[in-house]
Amino acid sequence: MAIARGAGTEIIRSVQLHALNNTTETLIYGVRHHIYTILSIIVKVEAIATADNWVKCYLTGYDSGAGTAQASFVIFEPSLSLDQTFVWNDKFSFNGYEPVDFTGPIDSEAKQDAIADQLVSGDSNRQILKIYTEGADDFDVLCTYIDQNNA
Amino acid sequence: MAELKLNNVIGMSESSSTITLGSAGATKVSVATGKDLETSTTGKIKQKGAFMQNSVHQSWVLGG
Repeated sequence: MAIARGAGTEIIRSVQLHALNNTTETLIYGVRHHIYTILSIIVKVEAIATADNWVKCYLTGYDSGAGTAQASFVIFEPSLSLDQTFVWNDKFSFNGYEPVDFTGPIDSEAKQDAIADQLVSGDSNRQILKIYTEGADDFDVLCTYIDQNNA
Repeated sequence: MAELKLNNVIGMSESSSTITLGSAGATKVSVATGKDLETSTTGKIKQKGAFMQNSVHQSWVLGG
């Protein structure tokens, strides 16, 4: 049977990217009222255009300090060599959507709750996990995560 | 998620020692005196209010 992924469910998801290069790809496309918990991200260097090219994984989302949308938060950016495997093995979570915009920093319960509520409207307010490499490389990527759907 | 009301469950049966939810051969949940609380093969007991529903996921995240 199809995996139940409706409101109130919590499922394991995975995403694979073959031959990643300097074109930015999406690992997780945020959906409102979802919480994503990264379990691991594995990167294997199949081919590398220039020695020590890096792979950069970053989240576009809300900066609660400045109170601005669509800031970039870099998770990792290691330089790699041919045939190396890089494993990101720390758990972290992020929301599918940004909060209704507020004036930073967080100095009230209302602002803190706004982050959890994810009530902003608009497709441009998704929080998206992305990845790309430094050059015309060939990196394989596998990301495993938990998707909690509270929609 | 719909609220489960015992008097609305089709196929509910009850004896002096057993309560079964679901029709014969398709038991969803059964309870018998001195026995386990048992669900169907794919069913599960859900803990409401926990930050994670699945104990395996909870173990992964908390490192248990």
